[in-house]
Amino acid sequence: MYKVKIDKEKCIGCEACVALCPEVFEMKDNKANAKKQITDKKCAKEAADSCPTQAIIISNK
Amino acid sequence: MKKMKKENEMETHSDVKAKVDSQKWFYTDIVKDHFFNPKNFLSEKKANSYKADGVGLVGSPACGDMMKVWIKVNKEQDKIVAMKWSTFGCASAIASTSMLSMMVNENGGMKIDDALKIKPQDIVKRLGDLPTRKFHCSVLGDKALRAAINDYFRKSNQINRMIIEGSRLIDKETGVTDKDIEEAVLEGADTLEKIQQKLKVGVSNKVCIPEVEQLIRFYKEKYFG
Repeated sequence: MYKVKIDKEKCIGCEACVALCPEVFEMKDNKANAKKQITDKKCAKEAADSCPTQAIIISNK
Repeated sequence: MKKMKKENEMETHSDVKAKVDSQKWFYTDIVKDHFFNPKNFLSEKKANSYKADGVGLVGSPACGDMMKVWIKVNKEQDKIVAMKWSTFGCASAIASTSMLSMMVNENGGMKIDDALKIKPQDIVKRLGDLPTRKFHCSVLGDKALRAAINDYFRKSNQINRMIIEGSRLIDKETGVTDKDIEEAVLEGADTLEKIQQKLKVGVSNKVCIPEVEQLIRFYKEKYFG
């Protein structure tokens, strides 16, 4: 299980995470928003790796 | 074994190497080809005389990039027959949008409904991969194409087909969203009259006018204090 956190200050709203993992991420006011704080979806990790500003923080739970 | 080989390959062929953590980036030959010889690129000079049915402009000011897409549409077949683009973006943005334009233009064009289904993942697959950290660059061309299709829908009076993401529809007759109003205010339309000249919002659908006025006030406050 992963714990998902988004640093909204860093997020530039490029939507890469939503494209890679729509189950967990959505756009809210032009910034990424985690629909679920805790998930077992592997794509959440991929999204974090793809984030250009490293605004997504994933930790194992 | 296969994985080891790939790592060895990256060892010798890495295209970008970070000084700090010696992280290596690898671009496929397809990416390089599209970067050095972009397909369907529209130069600034030709853009003025290019007769497009839809134009889409997106960009992230934080990234400093911008992407513009032009499409020509065959109305009877509901098909995009030509897609052109231009960008101030990075190598990956250039390569992925070049590939996207090739995907849309090949076999005589693509049905609009199919073009709307293209995902950044499909582009990355056709490129043979992109460095993970550069994946977001392929989102840009995709977004600009959607914006161009929306623009075509608006111009050809197919408001009900417009897909509006991350913005709110204000006038259902003209398809004007809060984002359109924000852009118009930024371009200097600071009164209802000027906004209406530009966007025709609320000209026949008068119900939305109070909301439009409220948005003009809000964005004026936001950007010009």
